[in-house]
Amino acid sequence: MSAADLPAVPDALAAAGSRRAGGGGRGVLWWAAATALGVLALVAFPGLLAPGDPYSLEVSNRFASPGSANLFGTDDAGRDILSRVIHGARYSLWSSILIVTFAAVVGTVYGALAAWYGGILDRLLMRTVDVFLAFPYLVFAMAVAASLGRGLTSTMVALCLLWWPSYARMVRGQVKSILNDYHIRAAVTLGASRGQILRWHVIPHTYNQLLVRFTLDIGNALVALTGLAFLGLGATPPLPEWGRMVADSKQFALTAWWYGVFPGVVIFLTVLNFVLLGEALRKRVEL
Amino acid sequence: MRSAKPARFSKLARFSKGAAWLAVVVLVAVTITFALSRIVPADPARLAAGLEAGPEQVERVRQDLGLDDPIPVQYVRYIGGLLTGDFGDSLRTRGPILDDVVESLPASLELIAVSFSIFAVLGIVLGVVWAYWPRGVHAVLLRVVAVAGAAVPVFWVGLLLQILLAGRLGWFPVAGNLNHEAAGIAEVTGAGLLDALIARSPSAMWEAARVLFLPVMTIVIHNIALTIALMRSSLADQLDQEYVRAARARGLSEWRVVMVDALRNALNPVVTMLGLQLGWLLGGVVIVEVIFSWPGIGLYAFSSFQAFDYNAIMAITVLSTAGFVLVNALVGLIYPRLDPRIQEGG
Repeated sequence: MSAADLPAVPDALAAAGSRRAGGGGRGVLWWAAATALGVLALVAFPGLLAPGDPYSLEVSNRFASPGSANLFGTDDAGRDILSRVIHGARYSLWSSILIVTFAAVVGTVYGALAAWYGGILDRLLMRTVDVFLAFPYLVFAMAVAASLGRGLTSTMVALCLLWWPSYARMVRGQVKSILNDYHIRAAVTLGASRGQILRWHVIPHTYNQLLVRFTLDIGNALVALTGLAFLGLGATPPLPEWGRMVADSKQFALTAWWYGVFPGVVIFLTVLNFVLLGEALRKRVEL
Repeated sequence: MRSAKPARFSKLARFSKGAAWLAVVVLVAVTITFALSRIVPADPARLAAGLEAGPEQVERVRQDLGLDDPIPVQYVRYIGGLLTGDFGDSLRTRGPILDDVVESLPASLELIAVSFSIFAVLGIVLGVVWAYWPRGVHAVLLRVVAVAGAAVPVFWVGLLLQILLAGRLGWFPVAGNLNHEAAGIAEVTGAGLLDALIARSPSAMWEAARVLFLPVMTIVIHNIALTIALMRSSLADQLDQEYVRAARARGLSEWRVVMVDALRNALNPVVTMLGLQLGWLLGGVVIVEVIFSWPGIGLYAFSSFQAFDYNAIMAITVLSTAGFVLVNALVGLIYPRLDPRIQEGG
C-alpha cells in the first residue's frame, strides 16, 4: 500500500540534485539523439562495429590479456571479449528496451482506462496494480523465469509481467489530474467524443513524463535483466549476454580479471548513460 | 485529536484492513506460483524420484506426493498446508522446507541487519552534510557516489571487491560464513556476530566481522546511493522553507533549527524509501549471497531454483512476499510519529 504512494526510485535518483547536468538547452537533445543512434548501431549492425566474430573459438588464444590484438582480451574459449560485448547489446540492451516499451504501452493504456472510467472499475484495476507492486520483484522474477524454463525469452516475460504496474499507476495519476483541466471541459463542451478526448487531449500530455521515466527505466531494466542472467536465468550459452559473461567469468576471476571487468564496465556505463540522460531530460521537461 | 475512543476503533480498523491486504497479496502470490509450478515443462515426480528411477518408481513417487490428484485438489491441499505452517518437503534436501528456511534465515538476517544499519545511518549523515554544505570537494564526491552507486550492477561490484580485496590483497576471505568450530564458539543463533558476542570471544567477533565485510560492503555501495540522494534533496527543500528562516530569526541555535526542526520534516520520505529498500533487500540479497557463498536464504533460494525444487521455490516466494508487505506496513506505522499531520484515522 505505502509502496504505491512513493516517489519511484528514478525520481529520487534524479533528485540526486543535478544542478548542472544537462541544464536544459539543446545539449540534452543531441545527447538523446546520440544515445538513440548508438543503440541503433549496436543492435542493428553489431557486425560492422565488432572487430571479430563473437562465437569463433580459438583455444590456443584463451585468456589473452588485453592488447592490440584483443582490446578487451579473450575469454576461456579464446573468444574476443570486445566483439562479444558489442554483439551482446542485441541481447542485453535491446531486451531491456523491449521490456520497458511493453511496460510503458500496457501501463499507459491500463492507467488511462482506469482514470477515465473511474468508480468501481478504477478501484478494481488499481487494486490489482497494488497487488503486483507488493511483490518482491527479484524473487518473483526468479520464480517466473525458472518456471517458464531457462532462456532469455522467459526472463523477459517475467520482467514484463512485473514492470507495467508502475506505469499504470503513474499514468493514472497524471490522467486524473489532466481530466480536471479546463481544456478538457472545453473539449467536452464542444462535443468531442470520449475516444477523441483521451487520444488527442489527454494522452499527449503524459508523453513528457513517460519519456523521462522510459529513459531512466531502460537503465533499471538492464540492471534487473543482467542480474537475473548472472543468476543463470537469462540468455543461454553461447549467446554473449552481458550479465551471463560476468557470471561465466566468476571462476576465472583471479587468473583473468579482464573477463568479468569489461562486460561489467559496459553495463555500468550504459546504465549511467540512461540514468543521467533521463535526469537531464527531466530537467528540460520541467523547465 | 478527538476523544480516545474513535482513535482506537480506527486503529483496529486499520489493523484488520492491513491484515486483509496481506492475506490477499499472499494468496495471489501463492496462486501465481502454484499455477506456474504446474505448467512447468519438467516433471516434479521424476525429479523427486531421482535419475535412476524406473517408470514404476516415478509413478509411485507421483502418488506419494499427491501429484496425480486433480489440480484444484492439489491447490486446496497446498493452501490448507500453508495455513497450518506446512510448506511441504524439499525435493532437494528431502526435509521439511520450513526447517531449511529456519536454518538459513539467521545468516541472511545478520547480513541484512548489518548492511541496513550501516547504509541507513551513514546515508542519512552524508545526505545531511551534503544538503547543509552543498559546495566543495565533498559535494562533488557525494554526487559521484550517489549517481555511480545507483547505476553500478550489484553482482559486478561484488565480483570486483572479491577479486581485489580478497583475491589480490588477501585482506578478507573470498567467500563463506564464519566457521563456528574453527572460531571455537558454540552455534546458538546461527548469526556469527551474535554467537561471538554470546561466547564473549573477541577473536571470533573479529573473524565474524571480517567474513561479513565484503558482502556488507557490496550491499552498502549500491543502497547508500539512494539514501544519500534522497536525504540531500529532502533536507535541501526544507532548508529553503519560510519556517526555517523564521526559526533562525527567532534566534534558535543552528543545531536546533537544522537537526531538530528541518531534519524531522525531511526524514519522512527518507524513512519511506528505507522501508522500501529493506523490503527489496529480502530479495536483493540473493545475488550477494550467491557471489560470496553466504549460506543464507538467498543462497537456499538460488540452489532451489537451480534444482527446480518447486516446493521450495513456492515457499520462498510466499514468505518473501509476506515479509515485503509486512515491512511496508511497519513503515506505515512509523509515519505518524514523524509527521503528526498524518493521523491514524486518515
